[in-house]
Amino acid sequence: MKTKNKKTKLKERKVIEVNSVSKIYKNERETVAALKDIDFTLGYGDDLAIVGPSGSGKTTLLQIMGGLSDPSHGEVLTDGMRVNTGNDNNISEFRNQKMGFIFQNIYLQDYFTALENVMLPMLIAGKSRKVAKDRAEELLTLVGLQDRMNYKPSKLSGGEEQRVAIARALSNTPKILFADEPTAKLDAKNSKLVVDLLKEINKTGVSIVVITHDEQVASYFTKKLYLDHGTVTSINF
Amino acid sequence: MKISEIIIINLKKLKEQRSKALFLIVPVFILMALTVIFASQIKNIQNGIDTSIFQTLKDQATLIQINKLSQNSQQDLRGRFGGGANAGGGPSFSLQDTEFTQTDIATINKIPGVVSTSLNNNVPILNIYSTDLFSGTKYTLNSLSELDSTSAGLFTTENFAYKEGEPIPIILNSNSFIQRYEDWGGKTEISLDFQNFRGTGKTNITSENNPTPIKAKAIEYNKDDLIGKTFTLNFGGLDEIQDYSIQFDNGTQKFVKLTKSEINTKVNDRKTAISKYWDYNKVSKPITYTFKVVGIISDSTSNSSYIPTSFANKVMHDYLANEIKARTTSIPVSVLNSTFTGLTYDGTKFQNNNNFRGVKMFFGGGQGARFETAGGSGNSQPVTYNIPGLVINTSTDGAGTVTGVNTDYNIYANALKTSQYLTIKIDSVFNRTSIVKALNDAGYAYQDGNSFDVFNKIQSTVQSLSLGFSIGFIIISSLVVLFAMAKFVSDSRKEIGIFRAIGMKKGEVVSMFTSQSILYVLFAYVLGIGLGIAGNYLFSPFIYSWFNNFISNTIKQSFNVVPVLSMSSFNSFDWSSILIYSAVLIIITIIVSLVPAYKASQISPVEAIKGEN
Repeated sequence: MKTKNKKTKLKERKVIEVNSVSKIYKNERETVAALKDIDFTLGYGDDLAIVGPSGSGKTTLLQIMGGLSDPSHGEVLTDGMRVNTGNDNNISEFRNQKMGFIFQNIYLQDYFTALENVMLPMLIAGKSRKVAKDRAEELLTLVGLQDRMNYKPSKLSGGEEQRVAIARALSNTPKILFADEPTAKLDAKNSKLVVDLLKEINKTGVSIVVITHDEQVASYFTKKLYLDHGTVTSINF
Repeated sequence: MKISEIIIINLKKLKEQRSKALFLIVPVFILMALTVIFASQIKNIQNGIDTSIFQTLKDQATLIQINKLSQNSQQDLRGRFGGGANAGGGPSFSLQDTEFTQTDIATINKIPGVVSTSLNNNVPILNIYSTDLFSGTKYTLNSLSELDSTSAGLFTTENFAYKEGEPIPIILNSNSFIQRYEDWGGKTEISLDFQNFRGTGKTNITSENNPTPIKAKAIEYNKDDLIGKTFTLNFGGLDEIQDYSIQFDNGTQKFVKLTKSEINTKVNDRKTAISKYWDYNKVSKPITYTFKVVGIISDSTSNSSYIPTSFANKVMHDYLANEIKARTTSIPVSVLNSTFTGLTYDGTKFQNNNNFRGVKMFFGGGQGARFETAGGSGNSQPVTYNIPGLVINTSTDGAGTVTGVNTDYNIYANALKTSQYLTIKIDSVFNRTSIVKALNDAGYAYQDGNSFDVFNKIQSTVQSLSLGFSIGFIIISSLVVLFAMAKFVSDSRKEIGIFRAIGMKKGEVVSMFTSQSILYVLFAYVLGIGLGIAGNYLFSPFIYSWFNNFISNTIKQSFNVVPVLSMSSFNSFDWSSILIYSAVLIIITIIVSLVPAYKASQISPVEAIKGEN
């Protein structure tokens, strides 16, 4: 009975619930509202592109959803967890287990090989090296880098680096993948490759939120949310 | 995250980001190497000071030796005017004036803080000489005193105990390193106007203004070569026959060189006289012992050398036994002290009378004196012969009437003695000033050196140097760790952001940076200890020679005995201090790196995803 209830509840739950989120930056001279009263939800397995020009607040929104930054008002529930309030250790652990991040600037640790970079979130999770290594090899094969596993980031191309970052983001089998301008630094060919990869991942049930200023990239994703000056200008769900 | 994984990350960083790691590693490496050298050498210098200075002070500062001669205003010219085997007649000081007695001991022992007082008795043996201490030169010991092992601390750090079968320790007085010789300038007769000579008022007679043919000069020696040397000393035997005569004529003194046949006659006369009562061969043969030099004194107020008290008793026993056993028949009282002279004994004490000691020579009473030992040619003195070990019993009534000869071998050990020197043992260095004052108040002149302040200053200098280094070490190591870690953290902001974004906890960030600094510091530490060990061996000769110079220029000027450390003692390591410094370094590393590590943990993961266009 209990199990059934839980299952029912899970079905009703959304992977992301953004409730009246505002973000206000204050300094001595002015008060800037980066986000104004944002509301939306995203279901499990959904894929979303948040589209907007520079300064629209899209990255701020992603940070708040990922629990990396706190809203001034409102709250976000990611996989049912309030990611902006509470114990930092719990949120860190949650981020490690349930979320994956891909960044515009990629940020691999340059003293680690591709394999070690992918192993890192699993090691942070406390998994054994053996388990982490097997999983990392599997993921790197998945992203087509089985021949580059022991390369340092400096020996990899931008596209290859971003694929390592994607493998890293997937290492702990997250519920949701946040990608902040994942193709901004890549050429058309590699951009396509990365977007295709994200779509593939989405097909395995991982929810995806992509931030982009590029309509072309956005067009690959099912749902779209347009932001401008901190306000939702259009929702295409 | 497992701590082992954090350490692996740090090892990886150390390996991959070596040039950055050097910011922390190089200063800690150098600091630790310097610490090993500095701590060890400070300790070695401190040991050196303890051994060379404070050991000296500790032993010597609780001892005071006073000299009867410095209590008197009269000039003693022993050994300066040619010397010789005998002197006598002529006015001399009374016993009370020249020697300390049991009464002085009793007086001094009453001074608060005085532990004990001992006389440094002269061993009353004529003819003590060595032919192998200085090669090619006969060295005659005019004054040999006994010294207990406590008082020996004044002059040596070595064991000063007599042990049968081993070389006997002896402390030589460099003032006695004098070689006597005759210089007749090709003549056989030299006259001098003695009255006029006295008129010059010169009391220090040097070879330049010594117009007599009897000369003396210092034997050249090297202190370092002498210390530890073993040599033979001969005790007793008969005097060398004086090979000249001295005649007085109306204020003029005439030295006349004897011919070979005249000397032979004198030798034979003596042999005949002695053989009447003694086995000549036994009496004329000295007793020999092997000695080891354990100290050299150069005290201008004294020319006494020292042997252990127990050996003084032994040599006197042997010496008396030799004479007594050599006697073939008893000697009539009428002959003693007229034809034969010896040490007088009245049943309680020896008289160190000049006839026997034969080495003193005083000016006084208008007549310079140098008398024949073996046949008085040229003056009115009777011919007398010194017999080694002959102890003449005298009456106790003070008249000194000769009553016979003594046959007790142990008479010396049991006699009450007197001495020109006595050594006072005091309870504490801190009472020294008051005791010296009390001595002077009691009529015993003693001037203390003022070296004590200097030693305190040296000690405090070394201590503050050591303290300064410790404080410097703490400050420098703290700053090095703080700045290096602050730099590492600021260079790693993006990296920290990414770690945080992928789920690293704040505490783990702190652990990561703290362990990074510990790891780097340990790495530098191991290398630094290695360099320090090598450096310590490299520097120790310089420290050693500096220290020796320092000691020679300071303390050796004031003290007779300065124990010198060996070169190898400056190779020592002060592991206990190094251990403390190591612990301090690790503690500082942990505490100081916590600050930048905490700051690192506060870096927001948002850093990592900045760069939005």
